[in-house]
Formats: sequence, C-alpha cells, structure tokens
Amino acid sequence: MLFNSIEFLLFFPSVVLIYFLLPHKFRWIFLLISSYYFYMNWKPIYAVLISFSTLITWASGILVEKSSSTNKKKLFLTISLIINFSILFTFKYFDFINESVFEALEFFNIRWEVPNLDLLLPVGISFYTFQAVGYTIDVYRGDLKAEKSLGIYALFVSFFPQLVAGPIERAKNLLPQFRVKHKFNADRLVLGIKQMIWGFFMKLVVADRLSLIVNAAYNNAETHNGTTMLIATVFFAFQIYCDFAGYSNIAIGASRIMGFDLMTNFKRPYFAKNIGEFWRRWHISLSTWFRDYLYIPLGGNQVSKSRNYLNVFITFVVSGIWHGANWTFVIWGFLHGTYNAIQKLLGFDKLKVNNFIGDKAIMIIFNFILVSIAWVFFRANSTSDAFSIIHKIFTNYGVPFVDPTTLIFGLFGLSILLLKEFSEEFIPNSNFFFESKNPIVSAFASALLIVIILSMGVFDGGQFIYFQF
Amino acid sequence: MHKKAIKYLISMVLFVIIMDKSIGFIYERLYFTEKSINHDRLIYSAIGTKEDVLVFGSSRAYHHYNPLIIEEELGLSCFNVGSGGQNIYFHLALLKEAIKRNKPKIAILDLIYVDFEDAGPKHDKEKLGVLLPFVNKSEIYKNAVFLRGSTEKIKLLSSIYPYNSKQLYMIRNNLSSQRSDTKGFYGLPREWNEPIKNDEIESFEIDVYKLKAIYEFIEICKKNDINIFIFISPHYAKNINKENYNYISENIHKKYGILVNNFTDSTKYLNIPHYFSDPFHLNKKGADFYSKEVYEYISKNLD
Repeated sequence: MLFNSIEFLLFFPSVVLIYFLLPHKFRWIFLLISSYYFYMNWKPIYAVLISFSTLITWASGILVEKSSSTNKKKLFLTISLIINFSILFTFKYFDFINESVFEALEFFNIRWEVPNLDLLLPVGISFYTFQAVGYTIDVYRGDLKAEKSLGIYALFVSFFPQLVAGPIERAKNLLPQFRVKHKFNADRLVLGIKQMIWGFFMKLVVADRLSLIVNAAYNNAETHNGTTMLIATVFFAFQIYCDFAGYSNIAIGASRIMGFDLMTNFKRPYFAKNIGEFWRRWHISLSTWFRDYLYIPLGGNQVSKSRNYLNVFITFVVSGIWHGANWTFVIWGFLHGTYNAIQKLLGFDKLKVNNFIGDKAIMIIFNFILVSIAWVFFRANSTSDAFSIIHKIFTNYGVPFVDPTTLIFGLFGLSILLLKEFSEEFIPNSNFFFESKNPIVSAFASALLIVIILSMGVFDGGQFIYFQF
Repeated sequence: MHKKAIKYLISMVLFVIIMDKSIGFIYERLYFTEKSINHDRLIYSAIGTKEDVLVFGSSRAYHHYNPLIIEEELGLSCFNVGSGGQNIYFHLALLKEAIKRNKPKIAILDLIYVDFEDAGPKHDKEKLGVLLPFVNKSEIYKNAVFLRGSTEKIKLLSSIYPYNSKQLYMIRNNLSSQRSDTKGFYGLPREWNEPIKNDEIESFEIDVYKLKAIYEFIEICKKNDINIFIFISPHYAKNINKENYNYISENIHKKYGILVNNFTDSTKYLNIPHYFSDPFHLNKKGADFYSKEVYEYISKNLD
C-alpha cells in the first residue's frame, strides 16, 4: 500500500481510531495485523520472508542472551547475520554479482555461465533486514535485553509506517514504545498531521513533478544536450530528497499520531557545508546504522589516519552497495567516500566558517555541486550513461528541452520548499506561517498546502524511489 | 483535549472546505469560458460539437480524416473528435454526450488495436482522466471517469481535483487559441523517409469489456438512426495485427451486419512513404487521399 494513495488515506485513520479504542493489551496485536496487511498489499508472499527474518533474529537474540560463553554468543550472532544477509544477497545481489563475475571471466576468455535467479526484490527488504540485524547486534553487545515476546518483536520489525522505507529504527528506541500505553493526545495529532501534510507536499508537489523532467531526460540521455541534463541533475537532487524525506515525514507523522516517536531521518541536507555534515543530515538512520555497526567496529577514528580514511571509504562504498545491485551505486558510494576522505585530509570538516553569509553560501553551493555530481551515478541507467551525462554537462551547451508547464509547476513547489527550509535553517524558532504558534494561522497554512497539493500535486506518480532498495 | 489543537483541527477543516469550494468554482469558471471552448479542441469535442458527421478514434483518426474533404463531398458539416492515446471508452463517452446535444447523422469510427487489446486493468482507463473537468457538466463523463477506479469518487469530493495541474492550460486558453487543427483534424507535415519496418505487434488477448464498449457504440448509433461507418485506416507496413483485426471485423459483421473497412492491406498505401508521417500515421497528403476514399465509400453506402 502506498502512502500516496486513497487506500492509505482510508486505512490510516481507521487504524488510528481502532488503535485508541482498543484496550492496551490488544493494541500491539492489532498493529501487527495492520502492519502485515499493509505489507501484504504489495505481494502476500513477501510476508513469508519478513516472518522468517523476524523469527531468526528474535530466536538468535534470545539464544545470544542466554548463552554464557562469548563463543556461543558469537556463534548465534554469526548464524543470524549469515541467514539474514544471505536472504538479502539472494534477492538483491545474486544476479548482479553473477553477471559481474561472468563479464570479468569473459574478459580473460573464460566462459562460466550460471543462470540468473531473476527474483523480484521484496519491497523494503534492505530496511527491515538492517533493522532486525541491528537488534541482534545490540543484544550481542549487551546494549539491549532480548525481547521475549515474539509478537512485540514482530511488530518492531514490521511496524507499518516505517516498514518499507525507514527510518531504520533502533530497537532501543522503538521496542520499549510498544509496551507503553499511549493515550490519545490532540497536540501529537496536530503535530503528526502537519508533518504528514508536509511529507505529502514534498512527494506529490515537488518530487513527482520534478521526476517528469528528470525521467524524460535521464531515460533518453543520448538525445538531450548538456544544459537539459544539468537541469535534470539539479532537479534529481531535489526529487530524491523530497521523495525520500517526504516518505520519512509521513512515516514519522503517522507514528507520532499513534504515540510513537521515530528518529529524525533528514535535517535539510542541502544546507550542509561539507560531505561529513551532509551525511549527518541525509538518511540519518542509515548513516548512523553504518557508523554504529560498521565504521566503529572497523576502528572508526581511533586508529591511524590512513586506516581511518580507509574505514570511511569502506563505509561509504558499502552504503552505496546497500542502495542497489549496480555499479552506479558502487561508484556513488565511492565518490562520497573520496569526497569525505579528501575533505578530512584538507581539514574541511574542521573549517570554521565566519558568520558572514557569503562564506557559508559558497561552501553550501560547492557541497551541493559535489553531491549532485554523485547523484548522476545514482540516477543514470548505467555507468557509461553517467560518464556521458557528466561529459555533456561540462561541454555540450544549448537550449534546454524541458516542458515549460512542468518546469513552472516544479519551480513553484521548489520555491515553497526552499523558503521553508531556509527559514528553518537560518531563522530557527521563527514560527513562521506553517510553524506558527497561532492555531488559526497554522491551520490556514496547512489548508493552503492541501489546496496546493490538490491543485498541483501529481496523483499518478507511483511509488517512492527508496522502495526499490 | 488541548484547546489550541481543537482550534487548529476545526479551522483547518473549514479552511480546506472553503478554499477547495471557492478555488474549484474559480477553476471551473476559467476552464469553461466562451473563449476557451473555441480555443481548445478537447473542450469543443467534449461539450461543443453539433456537426452532422463526427469522426471518432485515436490519433490515427485525428490525423487521417479531413473534415473539409468530407464536408465538401457530402454537403454535411463534419468535425473530427479523434484523440491521441484514447480508446473506445473515451469515444463511447463522447458519442453519448454528442447525441444529447445534437444527434449526428453519421458517425465514423476509426478502430485501432488499442480499442480491443487487453492492456491490463489500469492502463486504458487511466487516460479517461482528461474528462475530469467535465464531470460536473455531464453524468456520462462522470461515469466514464469512475471507470478509472473506485477511489475517483472520493477524489471527486474535492472541487479542485478535476482541474489538477490545468491552471496554465486554463490561462493559455483564455488568452489565445492553441489550436492547430481544422475542424478537429491536423494533417501531419512530415514525410516518412526511413526504411520499411515491419512493426509487427505480437498478438494479444481481446479485452471483453472493450469489445462490449465497441458493441455499445454500434448499438447506440443503430438505436438513434445514426449511420455508422467503421474503418481501420492504413498502416505503412503489411500484416500489422492482421489476426486481431480480422477477428474484430468478423465479429462486428456477424453481429450487426456492418462491414469493417480494413485498409491495412490496401496496396494504395502499403510501403508508400510519401503518404506517411510515421509507420502508424498518414501525413496530410496521405490523409487527404484517404479522406476521399472514405467519402466515396460513405456516399455509396449511405442509407
């Protein structure tokens, strides 16, 4: 079930209503059933996989906790990791690695053909696998007590607002919340509704509108000039941000209404002044996951400088691979790793910026350019396409070929987005319009956003980009 | 409950309702001005036509039937309501609505495989979204839009939704005419100069609902004493969808005694590049030549 569907707009209020009407002891069961119903709307068979993953990680959590020896704990953890990552590997990476190996061997005139599996990637598999694996590692580390109730744990893995595209929650944060008796709270309802409206605006008015220009250009890159590709690339930067952050806002807002607090996933990432800061603002739940479960175990920054750079590099490349089974994602991760390592080497991350807005602006723009170049690889259909697009952007100028109506609507949505983000970034606590403390002003702003969504939103834009990961 | 929250919720709902109704009202007024009806081919096709001869069909109808030639030869007024990317559901809605205004004497229906191809549940009906602005004007269009799915009824609770993303289009229509057609027809200027491509389309399943809609189209014409002529206009290459076209032609003939004129095998057009703009569309020269053939056939077979 998509958030941007009428079905969800009927499903969600019904769930909220029933949730608060039910006695506390039945609520988790109801949420679990609702979550599975939500997920099975894509393909019922996917539920088998998520149930299996849930069972394995739940059992391993209990066994790890019960084991007295470290070796046994390690064994159960390893088994759980192998099973979960094997499922992820089979569905997401097998065909890619198979094809890559085939091509590499063919280069040496060796023909070793293994048929592809051609499996359909289950929606959200990377998200729930990481969430479940994170739980097992936390139990292993002794940071968390194993959850005894399989039902509550199953709800943690499948909680519908964040199941298919995050935020990738930490068990320490979310699990205890399922045991708390949430009372209906009107203030939370208002905050949740506002966040959901903003999420829908980001998705329907900005992301899906810009996607019309981006898809037209990137899917026919060979026929477009560099100027068109430049516009499409800048728009893609905002499309993917609004698509993903829009989803997160809806997820966080929906959870908030029901009494749950999910972690913040985005903090105006395009106002970052360097790559390190960008990653503290972009897909925070994933970047902190990699920090806690990969970067720090590799030694983090408590090692030699060169080893630290390597750790950063490995983390980013793995993050690229997490996104998808394609060399374009590997290069995307590689680029971010390189940016980060170079900026660390040059001391960019410790650079003190004068309050003078010009300095900040230059750094923000420069960082945006770096991020956008990397986005070319993320969006392009192939690595050769990506290189050719970048080459075109720098060499092939001309009159852009962009549908003017789409451009005007896209720029309109983008200006509202930038206006809001700019005021939040540079005039914090301004409580301007949408954030006004006056309920009438704030209600008017929310209503205006709904009217803009109805007037200019794209209603057949389809699913969220991150569902494919 | 917190007072502020209640204030917010109540006022937000009220603001949404007031803004939706008032802005929707303005949009409707702007969409259907006298200027825009004349300046926009779709609006005229949907609510303006009163001609004696109407041409229905996809882009192939739009580019293949020149009403000026048909008018000149038959002495009847003619308008081409063919619409790119549309299929029989759209043609049927337009016919039903046209009859309410002024019963045409002749209906020409140009069939293409998309009019009976099973293309999945959503694919064809999605396109009926172009009729959204007309839902308050006609129950027929409202029912056609409902074919898009049950959620349309909910979406249509909003007065703005039917005019979604049409603001610039409305402004443009009220400023100047965007039309490049002559009585609904637009002759394509380009001449096909590429090698012959046998763009065979694999045979497909027949969509029984679309087939029913074709039958309904014919039955409505018969019931209203409208002379109906069905054509499958020329293709550049041979044997495109031959089996499917034969199937549909035989069925219509068997059921209604109407001959479907299939021009896909006509040697007058096959592989003759200067009559085509692309393998699926005649250019202006080809369309004029073909329109004469159509007229000749109609004049011979008119009741």
